[in-house]
Amino acid sequence: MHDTTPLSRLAVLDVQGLTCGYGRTEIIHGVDLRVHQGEIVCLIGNNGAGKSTLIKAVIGAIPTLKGQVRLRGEDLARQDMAARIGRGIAVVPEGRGVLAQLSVADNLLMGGYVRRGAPWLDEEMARIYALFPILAERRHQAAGTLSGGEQQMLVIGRALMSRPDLLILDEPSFGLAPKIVESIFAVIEGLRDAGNTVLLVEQNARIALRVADRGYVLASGRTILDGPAERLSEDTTVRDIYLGSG
Amino acid sequence: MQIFLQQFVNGLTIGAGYALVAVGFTLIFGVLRVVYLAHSAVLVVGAYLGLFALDWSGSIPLALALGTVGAALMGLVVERVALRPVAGQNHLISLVTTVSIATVIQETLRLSVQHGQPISYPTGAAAVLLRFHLGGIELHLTVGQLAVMVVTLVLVVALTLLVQRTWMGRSIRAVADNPTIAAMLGVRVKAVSAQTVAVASALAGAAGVLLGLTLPAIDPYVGEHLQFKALAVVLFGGLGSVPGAVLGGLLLGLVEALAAGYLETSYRDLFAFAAMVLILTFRPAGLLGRRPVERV
Amino acid sequence: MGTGSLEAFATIQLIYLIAALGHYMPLSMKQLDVGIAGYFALGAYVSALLTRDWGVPFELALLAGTLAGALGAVVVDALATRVRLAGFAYAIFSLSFAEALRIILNNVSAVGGSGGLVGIPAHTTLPLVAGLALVILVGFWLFDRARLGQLKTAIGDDELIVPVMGVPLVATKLTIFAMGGGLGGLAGGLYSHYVLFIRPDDFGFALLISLQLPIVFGGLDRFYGAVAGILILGCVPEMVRGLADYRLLFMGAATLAVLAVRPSGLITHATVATVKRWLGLPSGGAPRRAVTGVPAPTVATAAGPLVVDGICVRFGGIAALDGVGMTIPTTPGISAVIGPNGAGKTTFFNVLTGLIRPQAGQIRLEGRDLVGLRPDQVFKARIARTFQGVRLFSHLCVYRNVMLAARSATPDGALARARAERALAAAGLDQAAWGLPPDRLTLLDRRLVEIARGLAARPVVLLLDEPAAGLNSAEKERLGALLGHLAEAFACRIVIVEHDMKLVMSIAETVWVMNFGRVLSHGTPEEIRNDPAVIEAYLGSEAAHA
Repeated sequence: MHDTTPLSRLAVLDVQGLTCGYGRTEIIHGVDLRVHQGEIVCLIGNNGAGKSTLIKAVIGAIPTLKGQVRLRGEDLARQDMAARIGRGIAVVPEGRGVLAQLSVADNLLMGGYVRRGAPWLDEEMARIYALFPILAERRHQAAGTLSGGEQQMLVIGRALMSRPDLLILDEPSFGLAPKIVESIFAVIEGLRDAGNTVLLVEQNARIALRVADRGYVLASGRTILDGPAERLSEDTTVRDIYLGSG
Repeated sequence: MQIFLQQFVNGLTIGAGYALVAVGFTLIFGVLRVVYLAHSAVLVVGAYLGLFALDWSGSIPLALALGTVGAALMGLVVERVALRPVAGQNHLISLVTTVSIATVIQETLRLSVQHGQPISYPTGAAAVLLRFHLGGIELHLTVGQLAVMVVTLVLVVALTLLVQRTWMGRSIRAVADNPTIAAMLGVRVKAVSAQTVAVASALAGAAGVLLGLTLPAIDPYVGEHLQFKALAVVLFGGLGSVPGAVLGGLLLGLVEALAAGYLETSYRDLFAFAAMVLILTFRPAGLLGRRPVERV
Repeated sequence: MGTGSLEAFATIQLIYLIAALGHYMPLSMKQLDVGIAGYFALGAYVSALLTRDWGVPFELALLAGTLAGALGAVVVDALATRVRLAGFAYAIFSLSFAEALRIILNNVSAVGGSGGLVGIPAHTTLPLVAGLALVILVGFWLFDRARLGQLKTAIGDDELIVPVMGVPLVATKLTIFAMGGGLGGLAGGLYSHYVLFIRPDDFGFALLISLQLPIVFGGLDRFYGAVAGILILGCVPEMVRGLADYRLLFMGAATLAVLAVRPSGLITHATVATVKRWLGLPSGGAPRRAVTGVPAPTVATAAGPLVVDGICVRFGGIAALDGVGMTIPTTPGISAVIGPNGAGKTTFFNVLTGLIRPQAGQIRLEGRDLVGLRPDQVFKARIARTFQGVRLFSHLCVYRNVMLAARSATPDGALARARAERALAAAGLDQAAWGLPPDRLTLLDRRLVEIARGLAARPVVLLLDEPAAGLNSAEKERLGALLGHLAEAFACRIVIVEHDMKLVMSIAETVWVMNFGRVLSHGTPEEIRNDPAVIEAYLGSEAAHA
């Protein structure tokens, strides 16, 4: 299919022919997906299209049945989840997923678990507090007491703590009011501008395509469309998939 | 007043033992979410190792060290043999596997060490009576009792520092909070589970040696009644709460000791269970616990 | 071994078997009541005191002991249920009861204190115990085929949805607990009148171990497991010379070894199925005769619509439902509730079926407010449902799954059978599949069984939560066509929550759109498709885009 990005650019994440599922049930059927250095790539699709399953296979939470997942050229087939996170993937899980009883500060620290001992952790934490001043204010509070939007900021900050090569955001708009969604997506755009590489998984197609550079549309476990974000947002198939007129 | 203070001190000694065992239970439950009943056996392993060390060297610190380390290793064996193979099964299975391995350990001790007859720790340093004068009041305390209080205090502080300040402790708390999320942060949940059982077992091992220092004698089943009470403490202190377990254990020890002056029989053994029923009726999450939300 | 000691050995093992079967009751229902040693002690003491001190006839005393055990179990479990203890806490609670009872008995001089009771009259004989054990085993065999036995299996499989099948959960569980405690009490009574001297410490942790390890070793799937466990773990060490002292060591090691390889124990559902295949026995459960000419349902629709008004549900600080109102017709047909992830659709179904009690609002059907009713009472008001994913009772066959709900809806067994058969046939499930366990079916067929289970209760409203999830397009088409047909044939309103818009738009007459816990829009599929608010909810907001 179409890929306008020059191949010479380094692919941070390179997924080829990925097939995976739960037990004997195959959910993803041979998906190709690439995320290059410094871009936001969004993966959109209706509920049940297999977005979360694909992410689970990428981070090693479920086994890969066929195909390859490479991070900066390195095949991850033999790496378990902890090893993949250690190699530089950070995940913001669906439904936020703060460690509810831990303090805000401990949540952030746990984001740097795979870099424990790195001399720059304190510095990184200060940077995140500067990025989200509300978190600094609440650093001693249990994370579960934060509002939905604050929790989303916390998990994004937590993912940044390890200075990851690839940041995967799973449904950051989940259950948030439109205004808060707007501010979260402004943050995501800011992350890209600061040089981060982002794979954004979203059901909310419009806003995802607005911030993304490129996008993939997933339906029934297959990518049925990919390309630059502007083109996808004009494509009528996207609307049809979502509203069932197709 | 004299009697009260004396019983207060005695109560702290008893309660310290409950607290050490209960803290281990609450850690294991919090992280592994299993019904774990091998603690009495691990404690007894600590007590016997302490006995051997004391017989051989006469040194209380050495006995404590050997009992603690030996129990921690025993805990790792229990985790590997009785918990890991049945991970993800329902609560009943872990209950039965831990009871089974506890039975194997205790029976092995019974069949191999003096036919399970009660054995006393060598009377020596531990039995020395110390007298303290506090504003005209004289308190009697054996070296053993003093050791119990000092060692428990040190261990509880050390554990708190470990859990609150170190990466290991942080990962333990993360897994206890949400294992799925912890795994996504790069934590190896199985390794953390094993570490947790080892830490809890080390505390039980220390409790075993301390028990040996204060009880007239130990036998392979000496930990069993302590285990029952510690479990009640875990429930009424708040499942998964370390401060709840410490507070609950100390309170129970105090109440038992103070009541001993008024009740002649072993009715005081009932307090743990009565407290559990009462507290759970009015506060289902226990004294310092949080109620988990259950959803369909 | 002399004949005398052989007789003693057999008698004691049979008494243990009866107690083990009592302990099996809660455990096989996946309830961690481990207080069996306490129920055993209650039976032993009550019956012994009655015969020894009050001259009560043995048979009557035995009955009283049985009742005492049953009562003990009911008290423990009612309290634990009331405090809503689960798992770990439940086990400790029941264990503590037995331990506390032991301490009390040790201290009450009226019952002998720690010295125990001596001079209990000898009444228990081997033929009596053997006869009782035989009767109890036959009883267990019959129980597995009775409704209560199937409810026990269902509770073990998926407790949370049992009330939604019209079953009063707490009462059912307490009945089964009482049966287990009663068997424990009976065994205790037999025990005390055989050994003639009992002490509180006879009923300690060691007794629990001797009863529990064998039945888990043997396997909790079927009661044969308990029998096998007692036979192997209880009898082998006694029969092998020199092994008696190693009895507990053997029990512990054998249990560990078996559970490491077979976590469900020696005898499992699969084992039983294999043996039945060898012997050429049918797998049981479903009617064996050919079911033909299933009568058409008598149509009885509700008098008016299901009116939902102002429903609010909060979880902590988050409003899951924020004033939801809908008027759902009860005329035959299909409606749909759609909305993005997290909009509150499933929570809404949970409120409608009584699983979640809303903080505010009303749900009226035929002039009655359903808010505050238990799920089984809502079921009786004729609202049935299915669940996300598929939630069938995995250890009941297809037919029994459907019968479970059908039988809750009517006391008439023949009518319930006719309804179950008709629902299964109408859902297009071949009779050959009725006797199979659900996991042998395809996903679509499992969905259809779940729908048939709902229809067999003859609801006025049937709620389906994501019926098409995970189906391929051909299956979705088949399902869509079938749903329309079923709504007419069973004269009920089917309400679906569904993400597949193509399916929703093709089968639903009316659609409600939810977002952020509110109803955003309501209308025909055509109206919904062109509603800007709906487009925004699904595709995301454009308005805020500068």
